Amino acid sequence: MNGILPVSVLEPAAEQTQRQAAEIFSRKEKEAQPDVETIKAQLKEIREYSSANLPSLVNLFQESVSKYPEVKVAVAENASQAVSYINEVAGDTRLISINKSTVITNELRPGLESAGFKVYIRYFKEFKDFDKVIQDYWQLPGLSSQSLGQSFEITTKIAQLKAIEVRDYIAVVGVNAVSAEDGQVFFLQHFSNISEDLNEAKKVILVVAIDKIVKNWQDAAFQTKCNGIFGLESMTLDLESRVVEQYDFEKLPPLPPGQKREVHVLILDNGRSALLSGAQKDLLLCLGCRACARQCPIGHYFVGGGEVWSPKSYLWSFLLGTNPSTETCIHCGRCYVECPVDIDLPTLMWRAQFEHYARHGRTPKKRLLDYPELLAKLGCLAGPIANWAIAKPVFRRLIETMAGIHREAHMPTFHHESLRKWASKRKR
Amino acid sequence: MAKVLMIDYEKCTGCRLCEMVCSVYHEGVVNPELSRIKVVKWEWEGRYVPMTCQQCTSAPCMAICPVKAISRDENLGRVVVDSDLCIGCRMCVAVCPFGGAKFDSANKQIIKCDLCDGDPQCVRFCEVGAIQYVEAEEVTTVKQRAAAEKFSGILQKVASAIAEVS
Repeated sequence: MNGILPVSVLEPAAEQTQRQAAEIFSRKEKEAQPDVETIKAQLKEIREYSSANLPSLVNLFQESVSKYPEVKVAVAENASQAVSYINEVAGDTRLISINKSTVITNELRPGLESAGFKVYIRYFKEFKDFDKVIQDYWQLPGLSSQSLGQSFEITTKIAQLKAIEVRDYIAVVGVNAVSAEDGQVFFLQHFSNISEDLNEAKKVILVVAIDKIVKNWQDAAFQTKCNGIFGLESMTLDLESRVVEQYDFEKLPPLPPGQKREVHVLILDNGRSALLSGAQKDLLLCLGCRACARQCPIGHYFVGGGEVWSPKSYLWSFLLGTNPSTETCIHCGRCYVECPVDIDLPTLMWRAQFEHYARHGRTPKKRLLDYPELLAKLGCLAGPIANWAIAKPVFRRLIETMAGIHREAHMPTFHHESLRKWASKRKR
Repeated sequence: MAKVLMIDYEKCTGCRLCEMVCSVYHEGVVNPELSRIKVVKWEWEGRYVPMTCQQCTSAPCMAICPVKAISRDENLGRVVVDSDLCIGCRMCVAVCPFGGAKFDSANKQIIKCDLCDGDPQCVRFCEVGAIQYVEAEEVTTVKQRAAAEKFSGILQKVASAIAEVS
C-alpha cells in the first residue's frame, strides 16, 4: 500500500443511467435489470455477514487501516472517549463541521458541544431559502420500484487529501461504509458538503461506527449505493430550509500554503458490540439508510431543527440512554415494511421498552394509565360528573399536567350504568 | 402536438459535434461536460447512441422536485427547470431513468435539454441527420415505414424462395 487512504464519495450521477438507457435503446435483445428484490437480497447478505463477523471485521479493519502511515487510528469504547479523543486532536481549534450522519449528530454532537466546540452541519448551509413543498410520503412518486440501481455512482475519488485551500477547522464526518480488507472509505452525498470538508478541513476525523464495516470494497460501495437507493425518499422529505445556527465556512480565510493535514480514523463502538448477545441483535443489520423514516407517522413530530431523526435512531438513542422512552411509537409497522433488510423495528421497540420497565420499574402515572379497565370503572362510578369535568378545559389542563393526557385528546363518554346492569334490568 | 427530437442510432457516427455545439450555445464554451446531449459510445462495436432528455409527459424529475422547480412547457412540449427555484439537491439526477438531467458542479445548478427554445442546435449541425426535430406523429410514421420496408423485404424474399422451389 502506498500510504494514501482511499476515500470515495458516491453521488447521484447521470453517466451510468445514460449508458444503461442507451444500451436498452440500441440493443435488440434486452438484458434483465436487477430488480428491487435482487438488490435487497444482496444487501441483506452483506449485512448478515457483517453482523455475524463483527469482532473479526473490526480487528481486520483496524489492521488494514493501520498500514496507511499517514492515517492515525483510534478506538473509542463509548461517546465520551470519542469526544475526548477529538478534543485531544483538535488542539486550539474549536470549530467543527459535521455531516448528517446519525452517529455524529445523535451520539457525538451533544458531547462535542458540552466540550466547548462550535458544531455546525454544513449540509443545511448549502441550500438557499425555499418553501418546502413535499410534506409527506404520499406526495412522492413511487420510486423504489423504478430502477434506481444505476443512479448513485462514485464521482469523487479522494486518493490524496489535497492541501490547496486548507481552512482552520475540523471535519468530523461519519462514513457510510468501510471495507475491512483494504480500509477503503465510502461516503454518500447529494450535495457537496462532504467533499468540501474532505478537501478543506485542517483535520479530518473519519468516524467509523463498527457496524459500518463490511468485508470488501465492492460490498462497501454497494452498501453505500443502497443508502441512496432506499434512502432517497427520506432524503427528499428531509430537505427543508431550517432555522438552525449556521456558519459560513467559505468565509474562513485559507491558511498559508504548506500546511500539513491530518487524517484520523476513529472506530466507535458505543454499545454496538454489546448488542451481539442481546435481543436487539437485529439492529446491527441496519445500514443507516433511514428508509424507516419515510412513512413514519410520528416522524413529523421529531423532525426539525438540526437533528436527524429516524425510528431506528429513536430506538438506538433509547438503548443508549439519551432518550427517555419509546412510548411515542404506535407500532404501526410501516418501518418494518419499508426496511430493505427487514428489521422488525416495532417489535424491537416494545421489547426494549418492556425490558426497561422490568429493570427500572414504572412511575405511578404510567401504572395508572396502564390499567384502562380501572380508569373506565372509576369513570363509570363518577358517571355524568366525569363527563362534565372532561368537557371543561380547566379540568383537561389539570389532567394534562397530572396524567399526561393531551388536552385535545379524544376522551370516552362515561355512563353510570354499565352494559351488564342495563342488560339484566331489561325484560326478556 | 409539439415537436420532438428523433434520434436514429444507426446514422450516428459518434463525432460529438452536437455536444460541442450544445455547450457553446448554452454556456459559451466548448466543454462536453456542460453539454445537454451526450453520445454514449461502444467504440469496439461502432455503436453510438446520443442521449438527451426525453421530455417525459409524466416526468419523475417533476414529481420528485421538492421545490417544484421543474415544470412542463406545453407549447414546446418540453420539461423546463427554473434555475431561480432550483436548490441543487440533485434528486432529479438520481431519479431520471435516462440520465437526462445533469449537475453542473461549477455553477451548482441543474442543466438539461431545453430544445434551444424551438431551434435545436444539435439538429442544425448534425451532418448525417442522426438527430431530427420532427412532429411527434411523424416519429410513428417513420418507424412504421421502416418496419413495413423490413417486413415487405422479408415477404419478397419468402415469395422469391417459394418461386424458386416451385
